[in-house]
Amino acid sequence: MEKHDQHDEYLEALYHVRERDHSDLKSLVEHYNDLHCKDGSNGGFDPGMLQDLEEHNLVVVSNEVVQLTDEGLKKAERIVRRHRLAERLLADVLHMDHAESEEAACEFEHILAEEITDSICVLLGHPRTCPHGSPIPPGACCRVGATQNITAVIPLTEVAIGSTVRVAYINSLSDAQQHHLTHFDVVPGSAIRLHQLSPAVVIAREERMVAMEKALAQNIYVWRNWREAPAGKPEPTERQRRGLWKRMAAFFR
Amino acid sequence: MAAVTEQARFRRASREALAGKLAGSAARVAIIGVPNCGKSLIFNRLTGRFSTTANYPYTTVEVEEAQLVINGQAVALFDTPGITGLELESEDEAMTRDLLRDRPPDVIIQCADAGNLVRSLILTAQLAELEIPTVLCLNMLDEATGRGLFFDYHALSEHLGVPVVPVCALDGRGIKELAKKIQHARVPRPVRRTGLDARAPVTGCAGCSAAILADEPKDQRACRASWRTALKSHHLWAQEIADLVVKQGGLEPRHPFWTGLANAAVHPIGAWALLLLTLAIIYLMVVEVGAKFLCGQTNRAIAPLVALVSSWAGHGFVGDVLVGPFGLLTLGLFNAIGTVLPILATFYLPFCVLEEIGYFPRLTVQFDRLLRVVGLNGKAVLPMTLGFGCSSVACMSIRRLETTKERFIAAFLISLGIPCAAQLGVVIAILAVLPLPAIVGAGLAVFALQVAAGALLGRVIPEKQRSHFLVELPPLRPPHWGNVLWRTYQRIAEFVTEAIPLFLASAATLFILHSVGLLDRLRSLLAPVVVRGLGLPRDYADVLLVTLARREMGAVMLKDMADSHRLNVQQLFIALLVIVLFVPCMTTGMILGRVLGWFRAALVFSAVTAIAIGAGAVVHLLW
Repeated sequence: MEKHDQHDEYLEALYHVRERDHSDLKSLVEHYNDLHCKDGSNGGFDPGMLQDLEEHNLVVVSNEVVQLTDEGLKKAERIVRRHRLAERLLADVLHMDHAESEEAACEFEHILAEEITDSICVLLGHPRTCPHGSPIPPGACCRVGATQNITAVIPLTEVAIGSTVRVAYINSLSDAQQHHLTHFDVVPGSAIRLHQLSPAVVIAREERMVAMEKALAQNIYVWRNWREAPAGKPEPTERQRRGLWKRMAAFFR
Repeated sequence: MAAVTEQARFRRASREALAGKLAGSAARVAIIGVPNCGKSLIFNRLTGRFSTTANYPYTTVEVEEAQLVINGQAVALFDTPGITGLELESEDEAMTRDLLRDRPPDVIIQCADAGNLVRSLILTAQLAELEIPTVLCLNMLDEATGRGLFFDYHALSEHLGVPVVPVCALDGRGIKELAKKIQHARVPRPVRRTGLDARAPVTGCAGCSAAILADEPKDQRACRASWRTALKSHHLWAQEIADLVVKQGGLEPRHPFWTGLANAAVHPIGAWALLLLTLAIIYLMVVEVGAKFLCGQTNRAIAPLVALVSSWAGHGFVGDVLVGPFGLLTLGLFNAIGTVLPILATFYLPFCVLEEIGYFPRLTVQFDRLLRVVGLNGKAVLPMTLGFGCSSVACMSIRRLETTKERFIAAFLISLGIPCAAQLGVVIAILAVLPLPAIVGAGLAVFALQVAAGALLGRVIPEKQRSHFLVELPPLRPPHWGNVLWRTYQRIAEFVTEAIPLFLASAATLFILHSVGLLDRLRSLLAPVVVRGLGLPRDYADVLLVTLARREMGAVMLKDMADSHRLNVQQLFIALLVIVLFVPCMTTGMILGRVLGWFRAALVFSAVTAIAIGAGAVVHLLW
């Protein structure tokens, strides 16, 4: 792994630890050793790297406490943003297997250019959380709420009443809601029909109806132009999907 | 974590020992399943008992236990509130979790809705990690096969590693088979992906469920993979199994009438029309059939009986005890049988039909916004609708609301102005003599007070975390008349066994208080409030006292006062307003104490009393 990528891993780990309101070295070491993304041959924590980061003015270390500088924080945010957006894209939207999407996201976080990251973000309608429920740091595009013709997914509340759409992903608010939606079979990939928007949003999934408040429905993102595959054409197999992601990866490289 | 696996191993060992000798003591069998899959119906079928069932989720809010003998073996059978998974949020679900954790059953009967196998299988995946012998019972089979779904039970049983029993709890088919299979329960196979990589376990976390059960904080759980990933894999697994075992013939659409009705019931305008129509039907049933026709008949039958008893007992002490103004027969028994019973029966019949076809969950859509004004959301409709059946049942079911604030507000509103079936029936019967503007005015006054009180509470009580409105609306289905009649009968039987002794006891208490002169003192004590404040006769105090014992008994006494023309229209209006707003019976008080805590329950009761009396006094002043 290149040194630059290794920096990224340490910044990412620091960002995660910071999200949990910790800043001590011990949690950092523990977390770093747990992180999926360190695919180097000797994955252990290297204190030398911290010094390196300090020299680059990205972190401040004092008395076993490690903190990101403003510059470090900005950089870490961008890395985490790339990672989590990639997870959204691969796992929920392209339905890749969990382990594979994780692996790919770890690569994407180092290679995606800022413009491409924002394009993906716009394409996905500025998702706020990753599939694991962690917040995606907003980018410049989110702050201005950019919508362009390329926005492929829109909130459920914006589709026409009576139309059947496929769920792209769900910006969930809590584990319990995620659980309930899964339970009602409203998951990325499932086809739902918008029955009505008022007085409460009602969706029909096959024969069953689920009612929810508008605030929740706004977090369900669906494909804007989705047409049911004509009968007889089989769903893409696991292998075909894998081909898709390789093509994607090649494209972004 | 180590402790958890240790515990699991210990449990398994003890269970194997139990399976070996098949029980010296009673085996503990718990019926567990997702909401609205018919657990209580199966419980009732197995035990021959009655625990409330209905076509809406979260009907059961407490763990129920019954002792019975199945195949010569003593069994303690538990009916549990529905759970969607082990990650829980509301209190009633936590009861099922506590049962699984603290008193783990020897056998789980997992009840699954055949029409929606996937959701039940997600739960199966979580339960499998607890390593408790399980039988899967596939319920609501009639409805599923009616819609063209067919099941490969054998394959399902193979995949899960547990016996699978098809059941139709509604008419009892398959129940005997289920009872037999309890002793063949097996520990489910750990969840594995089928298909391509059949041998790879689901990428989730083995032991995640155990960790959740043990209440380990989320970020300290030994399982590294996040809970959401596990959920996703469980969902995939469930879907794969369902694809393998469910064969879909031509999906038969439901009758257009029922789909039309189902759509109308959530339509922004249609829903209100339907609600008005429903209320009108209930009103007509209660007033025309119950109060006028049936009560007339029963009273005609009872009148000669009263005459006979009074001619036999004379005017002495015995006569007073039996047929005096506070007579056991006249005030106690005959009121219960002659007035309340017919009215209750005519109320419960349409109520049970609505319950059976699954109308109530659809009210949640209609009332969601309105309930937001009072700090609740659509979910609170179910407990409040139940309040029109029985306040104590309603207060029990507020457990399924998620936050303390919601539970408090719902309890307050149920206590404040939702009369229970029996009281409502009698009140409707009294209302029939009032002019229409007064009826509408009384209804609006109660409603406005509720909204105002709720809105105030909603603003005043701090909110830690807002709960969200997300409910499933089960499809409307044609009523199964046998079930409707059975349920109506059960509720009436419950009234007879529970309320009549209370009626008699209250009559006896009033009689004793009256004989020793205490009642007079109580009346004098309350006179400033009753006579000066509300402008009502002194003995309205009796009505209030009796209402504390049973709400409808107070209403019946008021009806007697109205029938003997002792009250003018204004007085009747005030009297009705006060007893409708007045606190519910003591039973509800006890339940509220348990659900909310005694301090909060006392707060609710005193505030409601103050509001009731205050509202009556204001009307008296203004009119």
